[in-house]
Amino acid sequence: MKPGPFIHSGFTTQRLMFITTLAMIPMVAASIWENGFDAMILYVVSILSVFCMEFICQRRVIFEYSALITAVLLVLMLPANAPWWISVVGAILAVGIGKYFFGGFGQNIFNPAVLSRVLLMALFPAIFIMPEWTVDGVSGATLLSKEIGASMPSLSSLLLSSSPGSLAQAMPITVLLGGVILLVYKLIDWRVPLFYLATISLLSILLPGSEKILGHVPYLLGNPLLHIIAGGSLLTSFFLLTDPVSSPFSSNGRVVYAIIAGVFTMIIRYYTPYPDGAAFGVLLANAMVPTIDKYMLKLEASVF
Amino acid sequence: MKIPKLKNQLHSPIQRIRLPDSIQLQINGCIPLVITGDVVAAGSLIAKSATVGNIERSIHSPFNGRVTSVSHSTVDIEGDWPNAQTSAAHYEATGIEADKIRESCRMAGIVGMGGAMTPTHLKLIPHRPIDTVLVNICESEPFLTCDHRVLEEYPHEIECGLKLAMTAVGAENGLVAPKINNYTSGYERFLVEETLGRKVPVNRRPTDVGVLVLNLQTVRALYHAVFEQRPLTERVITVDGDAIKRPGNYLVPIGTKVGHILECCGWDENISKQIIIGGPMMGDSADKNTPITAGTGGVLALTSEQTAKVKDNPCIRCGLCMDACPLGLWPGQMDRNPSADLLACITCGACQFVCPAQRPIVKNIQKAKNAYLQKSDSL
Ligand code: SF4
Ligand code: SF4
Repeated sequence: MKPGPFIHSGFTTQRLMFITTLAMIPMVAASIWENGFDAMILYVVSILSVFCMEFICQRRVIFEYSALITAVLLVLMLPANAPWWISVVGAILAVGIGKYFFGGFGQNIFNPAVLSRVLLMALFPAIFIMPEWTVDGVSGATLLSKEIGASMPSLSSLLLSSSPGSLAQAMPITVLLGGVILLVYKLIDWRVPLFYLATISLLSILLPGSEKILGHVPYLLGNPLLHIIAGGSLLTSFFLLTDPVSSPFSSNGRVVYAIIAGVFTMIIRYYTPYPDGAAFGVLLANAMVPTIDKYMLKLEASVF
Repeated sequence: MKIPKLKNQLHSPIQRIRLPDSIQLQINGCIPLVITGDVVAAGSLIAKSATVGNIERSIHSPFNGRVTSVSHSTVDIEGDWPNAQTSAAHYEATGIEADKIRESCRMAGIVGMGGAMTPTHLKLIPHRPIDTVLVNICESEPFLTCDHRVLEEYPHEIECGLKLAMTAVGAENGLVAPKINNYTSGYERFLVEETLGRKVPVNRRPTDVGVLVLNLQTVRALYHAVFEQRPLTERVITVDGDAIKRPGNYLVPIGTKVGHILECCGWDENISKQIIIGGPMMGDSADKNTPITAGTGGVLALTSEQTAKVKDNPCIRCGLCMDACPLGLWPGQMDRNPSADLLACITCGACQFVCPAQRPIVKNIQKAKNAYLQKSDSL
């Protein structure tokens, strides 16, 4: 039997997760800068809870960057004014259901942080509630659902200034910066953000929006820039959708997967009361991964 | 992600290694023709394969010496290297008709020096029409530069050897394949496709499309056999790795033990983590007593920083192994869903080299392959 190669590229899971963690620092810093102590509490509680959950599930003290990433992503998807205990519940859902229910790291079909966020949304809708459906509040809503008058914000103000919504939206340019780091280090497949964002832009123009739902924000219809930068699209395209464990194996499969996520995201944004379909889009695309993998392998085998 | 080249010794001229006092010849499958205590001369026949006729392999002594032990798989000889290389006494100079070339090749005990070690005279029988002989100089394994040096320093011998091979199989064209900058292009099927544009179907050999692929040092050995009446008793290897103080390309007698080579090249035992014979991708681990065979391209002593650590972390489904596989297989998952794909794997190791989870993919595949073969046998 051949012993296998004696040398290795040096690119290990550890390294991948470490650089991903570094790439998230700008986003985290911006969200704390913008939202102050409240945001800080959310991060600290979330990280502590995730590691406690890991300890409970594995029965030994571990430090894994993947767990840290889940904890931070979870908070990045929460509204800034979320109560601290939501981090605890989120951590329990992400680690307990998202990760270990499916058999642990590497076996999870869904991105644990996204699954947790969607479950939180179902369990505590009030925290994620949209302003149009409340009388006065605008907090907790993303730009996509907020009425900001008739004028469309400029590109630079979109990139630099926060839009109310999840913490990741504190300063969209930091998300972009993180994404560029991931791309430069080749940690993620460029096809995923490219095809995801392209699908969103294209559909935002092509899809006939439902006036009934979008009537109050008419400029949202056919405005690709807003759809890409505002809402969770950037975070989704670089950090959530690209999670290798829950995305397809082959590069062609990943193209299909990104397009599917984009389609779901836009359908949810245009035709349901949820203003940000990104999390649902990821989850639905995750669910299709086994099918995509199977089909792509067959297709590639027949070409080969 | 590319496999690194690490060709540090590209410009080190071939040197003859200090001659060892004793050697061990591997004679697996051959019958020893000597007994302990026999006195042998350099170039004399030591062992021969049982099968008569065409399928014959012969092994010669590089030494004037004394046989110190004989087993069914090894012969140990102790002795002196001859001052001048004496020609073998047991066969005559031959002309250059096809039959005679094959005969010389058979008598000289030439085998494929790329690692497979199939007797070369068998390859020189054209069972199918062959129009092109291709000398493989890809040397795709990282670190190894011995073939490159041989071509650089003995181009004439390679050219003559190639002509002999062409005569033997009746081929009109001969080609020393250009270097291709890709680890997996050294694989014969791809080499033929890339250099000649002929696609070799899966599970077929280049000879099926009229091409005979030979290793560079095999071709040189063919030249030695025919024009110098010299049996195959030595070869050029690359010695490298950070635990080696005097790396380089060395001419060594076949049968030399790794320990002797390490000693001659300034081995630093304290920092040496892994000794390898062959290349770092497809070679084997070795110790000081492992002898060099005709198919050994190098001896490497790697430090712990250079050596891969196998960790068997959970697969993160990154797909890098699939992108790296020259055959487009699904290396990380193949062992879990056994299929005929397993048989196509050439154990090149590219998948494991790139796997961030540092999984022992090659081992898993081989295990699954054996299980798969057993299952299909019992059906
Ligand atoms: S060892 Fe086998 S599965 Fe892995 S890359 Fe090479 S051919 Fe593909
Ligand atoms: S390279 Fe390793 S971690 Fe990545 S998919 Fe293949 S087996 Fe899994």
